[in-house]
Amino acid sequence: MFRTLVVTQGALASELVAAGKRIAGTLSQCQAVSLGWDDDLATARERIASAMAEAGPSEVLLLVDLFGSTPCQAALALAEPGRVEVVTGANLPMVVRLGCPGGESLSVSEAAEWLTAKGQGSIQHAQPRGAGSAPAPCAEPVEVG
Amino acid sequence: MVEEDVEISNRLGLHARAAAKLVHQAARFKSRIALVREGEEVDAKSILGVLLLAAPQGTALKLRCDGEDEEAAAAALTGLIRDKFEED
Repeated sequence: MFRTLVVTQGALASELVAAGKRIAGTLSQCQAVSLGWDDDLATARERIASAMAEAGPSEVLLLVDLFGSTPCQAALALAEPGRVEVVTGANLPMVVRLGCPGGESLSVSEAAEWLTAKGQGSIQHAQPRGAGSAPAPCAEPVEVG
Repeated sequence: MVEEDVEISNRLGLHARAAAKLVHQAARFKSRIALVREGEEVDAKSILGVLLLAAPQGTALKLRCDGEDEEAAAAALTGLIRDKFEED
């Protein structure tokens, strides 16, 4: 079982987790780390490490906002393949998906691939119904590995 | 396989929280469970799949359950949908 930390600058992380809880009903293995906009890399890394320590020795998925951002760089400094994995581009569908059944038995490495596919698959150029072909259903289970 | 025709009757339609309730309920069963709208079939155990149905109030859907507990699954899910996801 892995735990997820949603890491962003500003209140985005806490709002994403709050929205995910509101929709999915529960999000027990997921916490928000909202960094300050002026936090430097060392501070950001310290805050993420502190949140990871609170989560105990479990595997951790760090779901960060932007590739290349301070949260992303700090997360990558803490990454350990197989124990601490980093996924960028956090969005609400990814957080909601964490609160629904299906990913509990995955290792953190498998979960990183799974959640990346979910996040990418959740983005649609939406059209009114009947105006074009229907989007491909996001079928389960997603092959990993 | 069990098939049931259902209509989304709650005011907000099959929105995100309703979809999450449906997915949590579907995940309790071993059967393969699908929802079909106008020929488009999605996995009822996938919230992102269910949301792709974009089904407002009044939408007619077909519930398809296939597996060892298909009868119980169909009963539970039709009940949830007809009970308007405990909303309204």
